[in-house]
Amino acid sequence: MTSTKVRLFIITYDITDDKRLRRVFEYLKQWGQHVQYSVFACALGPTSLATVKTELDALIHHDDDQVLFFDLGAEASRAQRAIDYLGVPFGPKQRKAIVL
Amino acid sequence: MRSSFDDPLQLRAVNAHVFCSRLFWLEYVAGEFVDNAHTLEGSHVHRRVDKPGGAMPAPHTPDESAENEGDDPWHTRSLWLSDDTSGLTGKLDLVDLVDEGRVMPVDTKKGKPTRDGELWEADRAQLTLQALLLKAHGYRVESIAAWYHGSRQRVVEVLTPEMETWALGHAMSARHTRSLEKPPAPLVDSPKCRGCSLNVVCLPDEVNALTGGGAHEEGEIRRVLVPDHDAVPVYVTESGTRIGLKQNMLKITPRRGSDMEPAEVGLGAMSQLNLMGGVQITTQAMQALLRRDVPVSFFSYGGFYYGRTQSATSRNVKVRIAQFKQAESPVALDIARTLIADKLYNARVFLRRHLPQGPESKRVLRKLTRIRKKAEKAESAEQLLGYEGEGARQYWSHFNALVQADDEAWAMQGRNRRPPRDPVNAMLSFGYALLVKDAQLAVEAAGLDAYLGVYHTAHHGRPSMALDLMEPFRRLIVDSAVYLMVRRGEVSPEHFVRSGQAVAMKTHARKALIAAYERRMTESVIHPLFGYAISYRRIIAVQARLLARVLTGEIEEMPNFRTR
Repeated sequence: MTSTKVRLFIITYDITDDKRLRRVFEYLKQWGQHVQYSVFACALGPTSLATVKTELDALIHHDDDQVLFFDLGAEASRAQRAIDYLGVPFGPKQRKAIVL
Repeated sequence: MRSSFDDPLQLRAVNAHVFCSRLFWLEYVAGEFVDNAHTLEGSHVHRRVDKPGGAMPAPHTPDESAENEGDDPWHTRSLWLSDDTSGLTGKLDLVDLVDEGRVMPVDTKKGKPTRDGELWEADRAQLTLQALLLKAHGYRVESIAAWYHGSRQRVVEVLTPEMETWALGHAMSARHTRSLEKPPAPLVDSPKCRGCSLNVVCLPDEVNALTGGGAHEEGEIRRVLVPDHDAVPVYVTESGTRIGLKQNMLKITPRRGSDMEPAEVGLGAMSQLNLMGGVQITTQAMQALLRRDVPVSFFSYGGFYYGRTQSATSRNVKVRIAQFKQAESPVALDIARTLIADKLYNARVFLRRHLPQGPESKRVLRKLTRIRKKAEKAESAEQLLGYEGEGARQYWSHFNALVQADDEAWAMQGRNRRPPRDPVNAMLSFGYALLVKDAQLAVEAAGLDAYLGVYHTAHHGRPSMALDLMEPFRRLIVDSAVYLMVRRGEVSPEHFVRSGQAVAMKTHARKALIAAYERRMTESVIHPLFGYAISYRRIIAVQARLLARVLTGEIEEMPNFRTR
């Protein structure tokens, strides 16, 4: 059963064509943090997750490319503890209103 | 009005009706539709079958035209059939040729079959009716099938005359439901509600609790099954800022000489965009925002709320019809009484929390209770207005005492506006404008017309219904945010400018106030009637939906929102 909570996903991809690679990168940028080459961290509710999957699905070539979704769990609790780092610090961004 | 009883009935609507007659009514009679994870996955699964393909051979000569798509077995995709005699119409995902002269409808479904590996009832009804459509067009059909994408399996069932009678019975009762003026009652404690895309519109447990359906004990209501917000509001507060579109990101460029940092914000991670003052935005950016259903609200630099863009209004005209019919009825007065009584109640709660205890606080709290009780019995909108004013005078003189307790600079001359004449009033006005914006979003999402209220009279350009809906929340959200900002020293008098009589906020104060407002909106509180934790932003949305239900007559009384 789909959770109604916002969960943190690590999304990684392996795209075999440069043009599509660029497109997938540009597409994912709007949903969350670009963490490393081909790695994003996105906090997604069930509707957004379905949207991301549907729209990415239309961008990639199914025989050559691959996108993986790792579910780190509820953003508020488990996901924060699931991440550790060496070197340059990383922590998932807090979601709050952006005031510019 | 012409009866819709005889209009063609869509087979997928019958499917919905078997699942839940209320869902069917809301979707096919009221025109409500909400995308959620399930419907998005559903349309994703349907992509292939929705591409029409493969010519359908005539019923009795399948051989001659059977060579579609080379050597593939014969089949047809996305075939639209209607039958005037039965009044049924529907799109068939796939029709397979079983053998000479016999065909089988196959429908693509997102999930899995039942635990016993059978068709779900709703699917069986839809497929049986598809078979009847094929039969009406002269085909022989002896079996039906569904392709369950979730488990990648095809489930085939033999078609029996009993199934046909049963499915036609469902079509008949769907027609009956379609002729109802009000939606059928929600299901009681049904597991179906959890994944249902319309649960945010239907509010099954809340409506049952308020109408006595399902006999819930207090505090037994399940949480509203609505996903958390994963996107955040964005505010651009500096005039001269330019907003353009770069791929799927909004590129926000400050004006020359500003110390604001340039920013890029992803469209996917954004729930609303709010522009204050002379911010430039390109057509490309506006189009992208409309496509993603991100509302853009416009404010003057000083925080006057002009209005917002929207990609589509709610199609639920039944709600709007009811709203206009009830405009000056006793029902409208009933709702207004509740909203104003709640406003007075919550004002008292605010003072009780913050005023130092003593004979003076006791006196004003008692007084507010008295006024609130009178307001609950008001016989006209004019009377109500009188009690509201009386309560406001009591409230503001004490609010005044609270904010200026530490620093005389925060003294206010009562509540004043247009223009606000002191810093506290400037912040209150700005905060209420933010609240109107969110109340209007909630009101319109519930299918209501924001410009016709139940209490605030229709006044040129004023979103009266939004103003009505937000009455109980003013003290709890805006006043509380302003008071805490002052208390905690998040703003100081030098963050304001005076020009003539008017006082305006400088950039820092505006940004701090927006942040404080947003903190308050995302704060969880326990809903006093339903007993679950929910953010203020969601509560406003739920109250808007319930208000619409009162207008349509589904619920008798506007449910209170009072905090402890």
